[in-house]
Amino acid sequence: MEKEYIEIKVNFFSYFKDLTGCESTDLKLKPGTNLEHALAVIRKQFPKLESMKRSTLAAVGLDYVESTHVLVEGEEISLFPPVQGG
Amino acid sequence: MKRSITLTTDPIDEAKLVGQRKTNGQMGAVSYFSGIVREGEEGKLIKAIRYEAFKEMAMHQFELILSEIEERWPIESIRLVHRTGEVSVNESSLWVEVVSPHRSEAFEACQWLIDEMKKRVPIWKHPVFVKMK
Repeated sequence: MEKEYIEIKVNFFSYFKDLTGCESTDLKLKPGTNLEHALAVIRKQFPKLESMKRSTLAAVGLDYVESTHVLVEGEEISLFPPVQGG
Repeated sequence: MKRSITLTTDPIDEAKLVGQRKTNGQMGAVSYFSGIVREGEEGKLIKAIRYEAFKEMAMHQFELILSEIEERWPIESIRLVHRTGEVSVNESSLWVEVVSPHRSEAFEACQWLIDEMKKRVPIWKHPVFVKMK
């Protein structure tokens, strides 16, 4: 029987930790949810991220992926502002 | 292509790194870059920058960038060191060395590596401002 939901961990970096008030959170999503939809759920939960929508970088695991990427149980999303190495 | 990527809270010892350089009779160019923390950020005086990294992803993204360099240029070796944690003004936060047969690919690859790092390697700066009395 297909599970009713999948669990995904979401990590925040840099000042996104301040905007959300946490370093990470756990999400329960419907199977088949893609990254774009997950981001909408996250922004609903943490409205302060809405203002950063255009400059948010999102990774799944250690890679940047398309917004159409379908999430699977156990994957981790990481959200952060533009990078600034150097 | 030989490669070495290091993220460290330790100061970058440039003299030691240069002393450890390995080359061979085919290599005619060594290009290296050191990025230094400036005293001003956002128009204010700072005493340091605290670098935050998503380390596992940063290492992975550096590896991807180096693999792309390997495809594009005939590079013998790349060594890269990036600081994390607090780096004081005038200290090096980034050190990159590219060894290749000729100078053009060494310059180009070094520049490209840093440009790509600034687009995709998850490292962030947090300025530590000087407290005005």
